[in-house]
Amino acid sequence: MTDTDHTAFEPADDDADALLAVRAIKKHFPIKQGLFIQRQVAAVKAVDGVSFSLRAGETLGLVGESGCGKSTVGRVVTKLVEPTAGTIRFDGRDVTKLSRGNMRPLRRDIQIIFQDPYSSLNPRHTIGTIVGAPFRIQGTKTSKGIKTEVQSLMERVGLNPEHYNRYPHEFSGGQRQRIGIARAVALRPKLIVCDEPVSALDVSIQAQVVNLLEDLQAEFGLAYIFVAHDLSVVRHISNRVAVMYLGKIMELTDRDTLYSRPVHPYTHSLMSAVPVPDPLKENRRERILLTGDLPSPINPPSGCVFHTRCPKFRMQLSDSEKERCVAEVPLLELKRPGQQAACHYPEERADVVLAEDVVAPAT
Amino acid sequence: MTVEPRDITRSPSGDTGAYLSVNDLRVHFPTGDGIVKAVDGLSFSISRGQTLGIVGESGSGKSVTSQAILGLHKGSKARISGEIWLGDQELVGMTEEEIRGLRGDQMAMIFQDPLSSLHPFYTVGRQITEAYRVHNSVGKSAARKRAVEMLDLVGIPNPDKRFDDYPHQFSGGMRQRAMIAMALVCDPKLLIADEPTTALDVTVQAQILELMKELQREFNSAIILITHDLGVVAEACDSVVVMYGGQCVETGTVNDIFYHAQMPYTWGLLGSMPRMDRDRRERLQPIPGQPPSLIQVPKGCVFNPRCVYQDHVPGDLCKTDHPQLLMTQRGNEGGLLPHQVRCHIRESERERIWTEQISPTL
Repeated sequence: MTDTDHTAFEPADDDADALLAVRAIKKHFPIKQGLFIQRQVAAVKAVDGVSFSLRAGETLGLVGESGCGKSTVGRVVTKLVEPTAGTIRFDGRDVTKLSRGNMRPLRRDIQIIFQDPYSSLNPRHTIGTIVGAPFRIQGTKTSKGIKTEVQSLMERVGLNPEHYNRYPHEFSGGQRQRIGIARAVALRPKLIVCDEPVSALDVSIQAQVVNLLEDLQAEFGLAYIFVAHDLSVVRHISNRVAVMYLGKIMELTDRDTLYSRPVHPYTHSLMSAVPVPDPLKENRRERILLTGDLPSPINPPSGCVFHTRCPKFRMQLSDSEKERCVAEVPLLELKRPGQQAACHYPEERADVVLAEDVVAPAT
Repeated sequence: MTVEPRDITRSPSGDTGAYLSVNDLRVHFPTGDGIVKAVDGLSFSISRGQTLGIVGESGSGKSVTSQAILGLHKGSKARISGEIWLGDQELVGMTEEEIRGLRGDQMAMIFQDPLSSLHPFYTVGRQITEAYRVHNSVGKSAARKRAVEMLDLVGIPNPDKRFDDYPHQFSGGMRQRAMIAMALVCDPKLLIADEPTTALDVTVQAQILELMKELQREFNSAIILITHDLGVVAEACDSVVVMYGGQCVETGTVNDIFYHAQMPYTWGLLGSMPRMDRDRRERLQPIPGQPPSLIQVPKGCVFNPRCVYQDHVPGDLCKTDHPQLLMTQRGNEGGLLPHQVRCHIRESERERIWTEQISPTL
């Protein structure tokens, strides 16, 4: 695997104050074959050289199609899966090589909220047990103290504290997600990875949960990594957004820049595909349709991983320019102050979102 | 139980060109805890070449309605009343056998999750030809030719080879395409798509919606699109039915719903979704509370426990009287589905709230 080596030199945000700095992490899941001796024959390159940093109290959105590795990044950051390569620094400390046992004290600071509130809560445990579990495991409270603490947490996330002894099946989807949130904030962590926390909820309930997450962030100074495929929700909640495709970050910039002046062709097509709830605008928008399906992460395309589906590659580039896309891996580098993109031929487009604040560009 | 008067009376003959007409449809399920009124008095109609969107939260009765149209409740304990006219045939009174002759042929359905609605044991091609051969007396090779043609039409590369693939060899978007090919193999005049793109990525969703539009132009079919995504409605639909708690609370053209909405629940829906096409707001405005239980439907207006505009109605009317679905002044601009609203607030007042309070904040 020689072609993956130079991706390790991608520039990460060098931010001295960063709460979390992730540098060139990779997660390759091995594919093994063989009857007695299992040999690795290939690897699913779920995450292939991702670098970013996150400050305390900040929200980083991770978006992309399913299979782009955004959830795996979340799990690597929380060390639920071990990275194949790269380093993770949390709070100034290298946590990449920490063992499970050494990781345990750090779990107070890094928590996760899962997508599906139906499968992430143990059906045989009461709410009290579920939300109280972090205290018991970390041994921070006496059993009496746990109950008061859990009940005040339940109240904080909008649940009735009297429902302490109920089971998950007695709650609706939105309420269950609140239980998951209460469990995550129980130990006052510094970072929460939210893995599609509102995707399974109805819009009206979704708004309740998004507002709750924002309130908790303001109250406890939490940093979020917000993994989602809904670009509208990500725009609402994030300070900065990373767009991922096939295990790599394609574009990484602050929210307003990304949604008003995206430069990567993949971001363009992703944004243009989101239907907006306004029939007149919807008719005027141009939709950049991607052809085909996501290539296999076992055998990703050479050069720029997006070139097989890139509309710009197909329609605008000359043959010599195309050669560069096929042969050379584009690095994630600054295209403009604060805006990083991994593309040889980036182009600013303000028309793909068609927001009102986009009609008159600032520059 | 209050029996509400029929909102729009539409006789099957002398019709205004409606291909599907649903009249006062009620689907009730008797359960150990009481009667679940999944759909309670729903009327709408749709003509060929048109797309109707049904929007609402989970549990609002969207899917039960589509199952009732397809006759999928026959043989269950569901109690169905009302009328469903498909062309000149009435479906509610039909036997299971009779409706089986129509299902797949005159009307077809695309389900939300293509992985669980395709049989994992049979090849994709076999499942498509089966649907075709049930309704057409043709040989195997002719059916195969037809299925390959359909796979090609829905944009599956190498349809001849992919015919013999199993569903697990297809990606999510391709499975949904195969489902569409299966649904359209007999050229149905009515296509019901139940959340056809919810499980898909936005880029694939855009492809599938585009494909459905193309096929509609080609076959001139009527499409019912069930969704919770108002963006999809704005993109793909001509008219809209907004459902809440098993009832229809507002109907109209897309323009009525997006630019002149008059029902507090519709306002809530529009206000609670973050939008990419407008300036970012600091806060979302969720609808407070939870969707109602369909066993104990709230007295009066079904939305009253969550409605914040009750002070615009004199007295306790919202909690005591069930409002009727009434036509607004804008009325019948939209053709088959007039702008109708189920709300006690006076119409002029609703218009004022919309233009002064709701519309500017979206």
